[in-house]
Amino acid sequence: MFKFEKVILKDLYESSNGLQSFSFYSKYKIEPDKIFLFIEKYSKKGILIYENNKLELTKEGRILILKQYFSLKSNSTKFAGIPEEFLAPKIEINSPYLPSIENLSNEILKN
Amino acid sequence: MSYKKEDYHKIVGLYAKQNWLLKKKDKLTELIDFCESTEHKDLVISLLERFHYLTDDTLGYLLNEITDYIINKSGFTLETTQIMAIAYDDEADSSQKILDLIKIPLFENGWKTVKTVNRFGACNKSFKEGKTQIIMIDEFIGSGKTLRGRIKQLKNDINGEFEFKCCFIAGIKEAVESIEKEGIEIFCPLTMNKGISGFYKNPELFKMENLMLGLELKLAQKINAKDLYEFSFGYGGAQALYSLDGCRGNTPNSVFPIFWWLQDSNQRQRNTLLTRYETGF
Repeated sequence: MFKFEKVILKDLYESSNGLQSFSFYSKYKIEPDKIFLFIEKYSKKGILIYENNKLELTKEGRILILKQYFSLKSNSTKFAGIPEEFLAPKIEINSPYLPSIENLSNEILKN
Repeated sequence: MSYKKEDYHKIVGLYAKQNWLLKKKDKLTELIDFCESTEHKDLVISLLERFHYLTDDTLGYLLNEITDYIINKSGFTLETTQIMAIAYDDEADSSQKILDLIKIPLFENGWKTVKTVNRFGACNKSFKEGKTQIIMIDEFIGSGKTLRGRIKQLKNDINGEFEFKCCFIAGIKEAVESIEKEGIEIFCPLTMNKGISGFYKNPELFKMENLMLGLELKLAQKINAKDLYEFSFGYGGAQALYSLDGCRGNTPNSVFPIFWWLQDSNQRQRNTLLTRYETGF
């Protein structure tokens, strides 16, 4: 996905009634051929509809963007760049785990 | 280029109808810039929306249609038929291109020994060898002016009984009907109306013709030996919206010159939307 596509999808997600294609030219200087290819790509996927020069996300498109946008956002920020000394082999969810007693705080061992 | 809201929306709509323009973005921009007023732009965009820009697949389909006509519908036989390109002089010509392309589907469909003639003047020799049924072949019929000249010449050159029929890939409907009215059998699988007079009606028609004349006034009136006057609204006033440009073909001179004329009125070179190889340019 190109950067300008993410920007358009985000703007469309935040608009309630869709946006005119020209608004992406006035705001980001996106040329007619690029906006056409964008419309063609995402219309085919059922993510948006283009009518009367206006782009609007479909219900399915809105759900998909919500999922993908937040997943992209979290991947690229929160867990990116964890220092190496804190990385350890991953364990499966719900698998038994025995903590090392030396690493536990004394507070936990009271009572 | 800076776009106005209206123009931007029209160009996006144009790309939706004519995908091939995406590969000619800069040329399209130059053509749109060439138009001074919104009315000029609207006319050019309307012409482009109705343009027949052939792909290889479409060309293949049309060649198959002509093949079917020659073999199954013309009434001519393999033994007595010659298929002749209507090229007159020794310059390369699109009629020869079509002749060369048609020989393959003819071969594939059983006419393995069909006689092809790649120059108009050579048909008399084949006639004397018994090829008395002549198929004259070319790419595009715009006004019928060239075809009428060739038929006259053919009747003059051949001494004896012969039959002839004509095949074209595409052509202007008006020209095809006019030739048919003269009693000449013509097969043309893709016909189209004239770009302006076949689409608009008065009083709009008069206005659109004036707009096109206005655009042509912005072109060089002469390039070397070629006068624009001769090609105004396309050769013979054909007003064609057609090109084989997408199949490595030449754009016919029947097409509006604003799409292929190489210089503007200040003798500046234009980056034209279509390419026409024109002798003498």
